Amino acid sequence: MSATPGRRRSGQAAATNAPQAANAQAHPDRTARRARDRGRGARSRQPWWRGPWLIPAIVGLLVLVVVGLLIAGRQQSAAPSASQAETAQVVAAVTSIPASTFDAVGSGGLTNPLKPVQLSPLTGPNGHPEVLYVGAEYCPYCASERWSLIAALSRFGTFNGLQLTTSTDADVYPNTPTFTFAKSSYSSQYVDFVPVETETRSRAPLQAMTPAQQQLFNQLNPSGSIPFTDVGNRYTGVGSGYPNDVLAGKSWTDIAAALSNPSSPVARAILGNANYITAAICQATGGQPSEVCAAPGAVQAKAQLGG
Amino acid sequence: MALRSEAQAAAVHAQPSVVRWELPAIITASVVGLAISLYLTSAHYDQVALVCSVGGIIDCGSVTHSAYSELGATSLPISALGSAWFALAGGLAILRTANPAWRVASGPALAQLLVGAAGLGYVLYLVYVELVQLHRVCEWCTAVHVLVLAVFLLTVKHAQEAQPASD
Repeated sequence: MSATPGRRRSGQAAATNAPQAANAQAHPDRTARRARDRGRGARSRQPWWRGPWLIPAIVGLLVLVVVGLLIAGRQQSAAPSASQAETAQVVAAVTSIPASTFDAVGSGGLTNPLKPVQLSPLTGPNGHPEVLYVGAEYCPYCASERWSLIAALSRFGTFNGLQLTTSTDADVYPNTPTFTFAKSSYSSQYVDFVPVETETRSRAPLQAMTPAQQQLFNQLNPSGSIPFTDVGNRYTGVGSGYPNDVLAGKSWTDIAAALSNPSSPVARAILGNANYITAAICQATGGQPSEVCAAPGAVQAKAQLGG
Repeated sequence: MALRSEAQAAAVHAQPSVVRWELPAIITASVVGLAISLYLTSAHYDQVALVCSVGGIIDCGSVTHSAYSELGATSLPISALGSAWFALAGGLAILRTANPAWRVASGPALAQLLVGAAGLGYVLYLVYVELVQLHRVCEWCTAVHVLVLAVFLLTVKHAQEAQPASD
């Protein structure tokens, strides 16, 4: 019996192996060690990716990744959720504010938040003057500005698909109640609204500006701050038009309810800012529609717009 | 005895006509994954009801109708991408099963590995979305993720065990 695997192919090989067989009988331990060494040599010659450890290593790595994501998910709290009924109620409140309430608020005691610009008119996808908004879901100042934008734009057209969310809890004015434009649409015969929500509440990429939007954003807003609003290349606004602390500690329904009271700080802030935005849009639309643009609240804001 | 078994195994590896068990397993996993992905695609378009838990952390409705359920700015659901992936992974496995030369050639094996790795990478992104962004888990999606992982591991196992044509 030979300790060497394989067939003897010639008499020379048999003769060569004969002393080895005798040696194996004389030194069984040494022979076994040599066999083991040969096995190790064969194993070390196989590519690393054929190793039996590869699949367990992949599974282990994936388990570590998922555990890491679970920990990250616990640290980043979820946005407070709203029921469909609550969403419908709040959206209805902010999109159907009576003209008399806007007029009673006027400028709301706010200083003009918009700056006139001199560029060729910005036209939207439907050929109307375009209102470009660039913001992000995490951003607390975008959160407050959206209330005014929605209130103002609802005087010119109709929103669909607005959802409630809050700003991030990891920044100033944490969890400011607001909406997201990410899945919304807007239709109007006077103005085109083009929103870009660049990041989610947890700062993941969401929507990207087109090259033209990016160029305009860089040109009119060199600091790169958000929210950025461009009303038809006639007026721009950077940041929120009113102090964020007005909304602190309030829920969506608290804010929605306060909008019906023109003397409440919430209504004066949101609707005062909305009147400035309304007046700016009216400048871009040539005063259309007249019932909105000739309203006392818009006229009062227009007087302070300049440009 | 052990040495004899290794020799027998090597003989099996060297024969491209032998279909190892991993390829039929990949085909089976791909068929199941394709069926689930098509179901999720139909549910996304509200053509069929989505049977799952709602309201808690296990909430597939929130996940499959979230802002992340569609590809970028398109209205194409990512479950359609999943359907295409399972069709590709299963199709490659069928071709390799049917064609002895493809079974041992490095090109198709590498293609199958790349498809598997791409699928696994996208699954990790989707798990990130579920756990970190949405704080919701979709059980149907998890079944799909497990099947993608299974296809990838089976592909790795097949590549490890298969004897290259040049050996």
